[in-house]
Amino acid sequence: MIHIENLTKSYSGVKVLDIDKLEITKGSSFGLVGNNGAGKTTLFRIVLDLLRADSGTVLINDENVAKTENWKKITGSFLDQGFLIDFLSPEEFFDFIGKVRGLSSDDIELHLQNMAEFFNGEIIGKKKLIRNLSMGNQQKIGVAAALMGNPEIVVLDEPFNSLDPTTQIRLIKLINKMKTEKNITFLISSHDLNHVTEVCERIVVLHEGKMVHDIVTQEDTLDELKAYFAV
Amino acid sequence: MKLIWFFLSHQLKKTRRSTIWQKSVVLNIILVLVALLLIAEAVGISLLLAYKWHEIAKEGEILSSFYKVMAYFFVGMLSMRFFMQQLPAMEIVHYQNLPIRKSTLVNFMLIKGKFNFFTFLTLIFVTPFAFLQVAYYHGNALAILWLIGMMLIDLTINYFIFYIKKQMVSNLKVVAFLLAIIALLVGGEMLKWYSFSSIFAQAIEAMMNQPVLWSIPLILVLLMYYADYRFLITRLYLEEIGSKKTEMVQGNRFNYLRRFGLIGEVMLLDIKLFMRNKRTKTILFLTPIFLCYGFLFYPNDDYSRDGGFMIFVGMFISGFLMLNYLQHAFAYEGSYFDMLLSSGINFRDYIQSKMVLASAVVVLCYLVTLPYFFFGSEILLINTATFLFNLGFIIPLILYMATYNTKAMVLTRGSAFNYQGMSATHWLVILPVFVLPLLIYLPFKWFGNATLGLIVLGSIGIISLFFRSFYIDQIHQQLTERKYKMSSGFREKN
Repeated sequence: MIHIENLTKSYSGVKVLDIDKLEITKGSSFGLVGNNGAGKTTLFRIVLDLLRADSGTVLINDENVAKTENWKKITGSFLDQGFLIDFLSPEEFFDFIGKVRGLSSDDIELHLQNMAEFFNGEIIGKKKLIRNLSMGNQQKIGVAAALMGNPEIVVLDEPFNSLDPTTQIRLIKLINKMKTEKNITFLISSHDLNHVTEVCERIVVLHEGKMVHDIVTQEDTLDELKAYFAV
Repeated sequence: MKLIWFFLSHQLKKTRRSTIWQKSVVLNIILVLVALLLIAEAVGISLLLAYKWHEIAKEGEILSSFYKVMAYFFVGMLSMRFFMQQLPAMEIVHYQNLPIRKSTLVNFMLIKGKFNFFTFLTLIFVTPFAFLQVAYYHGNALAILWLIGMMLIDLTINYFIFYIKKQMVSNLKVVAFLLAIIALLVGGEMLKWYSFSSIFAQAIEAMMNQPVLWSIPLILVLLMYYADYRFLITRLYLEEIGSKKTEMVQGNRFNYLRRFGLIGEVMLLDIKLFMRNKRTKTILFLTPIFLCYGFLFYPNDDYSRDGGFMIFVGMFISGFLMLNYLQHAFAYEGSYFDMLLSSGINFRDYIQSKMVLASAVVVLCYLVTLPYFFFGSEILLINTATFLFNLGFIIPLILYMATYNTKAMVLTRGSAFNYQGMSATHWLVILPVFVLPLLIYLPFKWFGNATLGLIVLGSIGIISLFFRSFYIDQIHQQLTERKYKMSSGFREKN
């Protein structure tokens, strides 16, 4: 599904990303952990063609993301607040994203109904603009927008950030459900080792731009990760 | 007391480290020069006025006629302050969680609020008159008293406006109340029911004869200060003093645009962007003023003979709003540009929607300003030629150049004197808009056929319209090439 080869990116002479080879198969959920500055967001930005890599390629379904645009139709993403249009109301925002993704009004309505539990009644029908909502609620909107329109790949950067505990648990459930029902490939980064091990079948540890661990999640994975980070 | 010094030094740092200054040196120099020029003009005008007043005014009422002018000055101040002045409420937010007495914070807020542009303006306006005229009739001591008195009245207005504005957060009727006062004052004078300016002048004269009476403005200031203080000290909560209100979402009148599919959606998004953000709203409010720009020049025959300048005016009238929209078309969307890039939006549609909206804006501005033809068919020809040139040629050109603006615009701040998100390229982009039409027109004018020049200008616009598809391809290509630079620029907030 996603194929990364020889990917490098440097800023003023410092290599922030250096990945020889990374293959993510369809329907698997891929977790990315690492300390601040490890290169998680940089990797995601290059995958989404928001940054130009110094060398190397990212292929989605054998298409180079920097050269074609078809992959955008099957890829949903939410990296940061820069993916929200803050002067719209949530309804208007979902409507816009839905139309861009070619959904009908009924499709959009259905999607929002599916998200009702995740929203916990705090998003729809509040007559507020997104910029007046709390961080947690903005986060919910971003994640829900990334899941719109039956994507095959969903890229989420720190999706658990600023969510309340109930919503965190609901998000884990939601991701696992989408994975089994719709065979979505998830790319998720997180600082929270507990969450990543609960959602991802495979976890890669980045350190200074390099893959230092590539683990298939098992019962002792959490302990392994904790041991690695407890320096 | 020590605290106040901390507050003041924070303020100083805030100003000095403001992102406004972290632009190019050239821009800073231009800004400083413009500011100096404005101050010099204000000083010059008030000096000239004070120096010549005894020639301007009638014998016997030299001072009282100036006092009348002061009455109008203060009414003008009242309305200016009302629309433009903000209580520096947000300044104290950072201190509220610290163990600092509320009274200290309120006093800081009120004293800081006293030092502003308008107070400075009043000082510039009255000082020359105090020493050049008042001192001549009443002596230096009284002149200084007069000056202090004027400043006290100004301060009363200052604190009165704070009070009104804070009331306004909870009660909109206050605005109507204030407008009614101003209307009553000015209207009454115009209809000759009474003259508030003579009453004001008599009051000042009474105070000049009986200096003890100057205590009245002093008491007024203290009263207003106390009223503000009482009001604020009981309401020192962010949501009550802050200007940040939670906006409600209204239905949108432009929903019929959706029938045009994705292009309509993007246009709708841009319209919402313009109507819901402070900075863009300011531009919308300014537009009528620029549409009236022609009234300054068109009635004047001297200008219409020198057509070169009229081209400039014409370009501006139908192009002002379009230029403001298109040259930052991408930068306005800087805060969510990443999403647009990765959402799979069709970029041809995206670009086309911006061109269509800009065209609609230009057409609208042209139609609204059609009545200018009352000033002569020559004017109509100029407006039409520049309109066509804007429509056909300038729109794609500016949109192409807009890809070089890689600083995100912060939309939540007003736009008057706001240079955030602008750079030297911004000025370079604007240049061809005014230079190109002149380059086309002037040679014809020099050879004695100005009308032909206008016709050529308009024709270029019309011919250019047929190349829209080509232009869109060019812009698309440019956008694909520059998108990484743009999105990384937009990500660096401020």
